[in-house]
Amino acid sequence: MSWLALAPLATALLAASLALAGNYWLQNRSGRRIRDADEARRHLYDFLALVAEYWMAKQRDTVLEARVLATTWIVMAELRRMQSHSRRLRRWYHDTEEHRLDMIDAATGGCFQQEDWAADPNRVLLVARSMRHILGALRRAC
Amino acid sequence: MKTITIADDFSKFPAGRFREDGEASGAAFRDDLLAAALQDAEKVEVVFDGVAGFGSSFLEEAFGGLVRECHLDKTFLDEHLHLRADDPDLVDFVQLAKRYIKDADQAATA
Repeated sequence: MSWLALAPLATALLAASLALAGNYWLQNRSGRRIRDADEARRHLYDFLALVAEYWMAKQRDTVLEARVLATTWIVMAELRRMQSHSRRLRRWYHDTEEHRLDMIDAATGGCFQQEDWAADPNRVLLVARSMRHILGALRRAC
Repeated sequence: MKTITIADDFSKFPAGRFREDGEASGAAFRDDLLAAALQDAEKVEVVFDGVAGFGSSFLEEAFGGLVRECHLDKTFLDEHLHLRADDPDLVDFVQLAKRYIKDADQAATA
């Protein structure tokens, strides 16, 4: 058998390998985007729980206060890192900047400044509202 | 140009709005460092890197307060004040500080 007779078989094998590799790459990429989105959701829900615990407390809790400040920073950093994973997430990150700033503003606006503590459930609602926009846009991006 | 690095020149833990909230409050930063620097220098650069996070009350009082308390308008601040963060994790806080300047300016002109 001539080597030429094997050429179509080799081409078919190569094409199949490329198709498989491409499919694997696409699935891997979209899987990572979905995993990232799930992780972001978890971070944000944990953050909301922490903000609610702080702002609904009966008395001032400086440990919670410090946790709110530190966690705000970490959550912002996590959301920023996600944008490097795909063009869609980059657009999502860019489009939700105002909502992220609203979220920081509502969560940490009164930290370390209340001599006479007063719980403020409205801040929790504002954080939740910003989160709703961020997560809604994230769902559309994924 | 005068450069103020918040972590080195003021505090690594900036927090609180008013002086009674603590030593590293927004009012203290604004009055003791920022406003004085804006009077002395043609341009002032504020570097956000190196701090352990910001409370938004600090940022609002420090930067929004420049408009509200020191009566500087946004046009002047756009020309003379430059906010910078090389650490990408702090960029949102720079944007927040700029937003507080804009909001305070809008409130002042309303």
